[in-house]
Amino acid sequence: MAQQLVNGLMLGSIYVLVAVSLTLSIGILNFLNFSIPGLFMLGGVLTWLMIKLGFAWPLAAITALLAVCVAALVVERFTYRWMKGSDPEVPLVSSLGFLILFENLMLVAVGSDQQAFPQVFADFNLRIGGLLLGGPQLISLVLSIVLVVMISWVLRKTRYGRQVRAIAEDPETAGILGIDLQRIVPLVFIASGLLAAIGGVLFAFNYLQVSPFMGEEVGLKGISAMIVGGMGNIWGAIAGGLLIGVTEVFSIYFLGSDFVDIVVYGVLLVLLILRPGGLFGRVEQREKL
Amino acid sequence: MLLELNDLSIRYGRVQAIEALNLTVGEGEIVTVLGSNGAGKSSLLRAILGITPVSAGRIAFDGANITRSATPQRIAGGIALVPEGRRILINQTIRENLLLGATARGAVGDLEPELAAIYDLFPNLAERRDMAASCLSGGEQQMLAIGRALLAKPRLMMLDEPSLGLSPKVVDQIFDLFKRLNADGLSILLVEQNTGKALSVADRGYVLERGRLAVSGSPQELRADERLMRAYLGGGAGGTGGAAPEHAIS
Repeated sequence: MAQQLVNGLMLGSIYVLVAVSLTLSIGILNFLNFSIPGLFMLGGVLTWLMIKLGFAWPLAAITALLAVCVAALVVERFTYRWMKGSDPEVPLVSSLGFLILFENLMLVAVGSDQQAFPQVFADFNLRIGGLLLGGPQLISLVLSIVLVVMISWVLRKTRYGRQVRAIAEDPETAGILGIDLQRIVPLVFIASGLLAAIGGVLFAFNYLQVSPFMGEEVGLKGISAMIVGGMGNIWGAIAGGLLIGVTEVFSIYFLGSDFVDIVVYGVLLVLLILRPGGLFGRVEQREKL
Repeated sequence: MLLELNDLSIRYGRVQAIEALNLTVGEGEIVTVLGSNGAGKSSLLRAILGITPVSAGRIAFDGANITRSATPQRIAGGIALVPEGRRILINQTIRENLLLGATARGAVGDLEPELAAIYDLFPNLAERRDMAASCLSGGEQQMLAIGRALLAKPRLMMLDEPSLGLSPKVVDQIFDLFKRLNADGLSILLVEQNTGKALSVADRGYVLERGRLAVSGSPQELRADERLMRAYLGGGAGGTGGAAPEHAIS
């Protein structure tokens, strides 16, 4: 039981990264960025591609993350910035276009099969009491928590964080105060894209497989995690991500893998019926960060 | 001249908000822009700050042409706006709101002495500095908005309808404050519908009618023009026309 809980938290930490990535975009820019599962996938697949080309894994991962920064900026330029002033649905649809574009570019590059990701870490495990903790999994759990805590700290305590929260609350006032939206908004896209991509890299190292469509299932769970937690709330996204990870692992353990999605999305539905604003959200107003 | 507008025009699509306006604010002056709703007064201030684009004409600040400068550069150069409706960020604390006022100055060191000066000016804010700004009354929000603008270290402070929705007592307080800030060297460009109050502090005034200059002059000259006051400002000389106190919160 305790072992399943640990496994669930570790899986959940991947969802946390994707959910926080989405929640940054929606909480700050009021933009549901559907390209984020694509950026998650690019993180994993590009790392795999670079390793296959003979690069050492740290270099491969860093190159992939840099490529995702560029991709995130392209998305910003042609969705959020390009369609500013249009109906809010328009950038949402075009970000979905970018998801499909990224997936199909990778489909052309690596094919549609699941690719086995090399095991780059010697298999090391920690035993604490009766619990078995996989080394890479433990690293990714710790890394996700550190990253999210760092982001939350930056938002609450720094000059940039104040500016970002001002944009989240009222972009027009932010402009009047001299906050440079042309500079800060791309940074938000990069931060959000990097979180998703790091999630993709960690997923690849942990579960040892990548494919052009690996982002879809995780992205859907990430969106669910964000909504369960309360849209635009970082701590909600963390709680939601871990909850979905744990629910998933427990339902595999007790009911078998056929029931996973029924249980996960069933729990999601019930929670939303009981608390329509999400665990940490408010119904009447979408709280910003 | 600190601020100089030459033949400034602003249009939104086919609507002409400001047409060929010439206006100056001298160093140390309080200048007021009067006019009824829709006269283009807010557009004017927003264009001076660089939020609203200019369709023709020139804006010069301290001798430099800033017509095409970005807003953060203009603020860093010494222009600050206290916007209509105050636009306080209610999800941030009072202290954070004040600090945001210094954004355009970049990474400046310790702002504590400046914050302390603002708290001296507005003791109401000091007590609640770490509370969310949503706890403030309308008058206190106006004080916070002024304090926030002061954190930009402006040479020219522009205020858009600062008396709107405030009780007469609070309006008196903030206009007294304008005089004190002005005495310390701050130049002020004041847009108001409260004509009497604005003319009581101003050195000069401009009256706009549907985006065009109707008349300009000293407060005495403007007050003397009874016909004008009635036609353009909807109130007699010295009246407190405009600014219906329907949202008054003291």
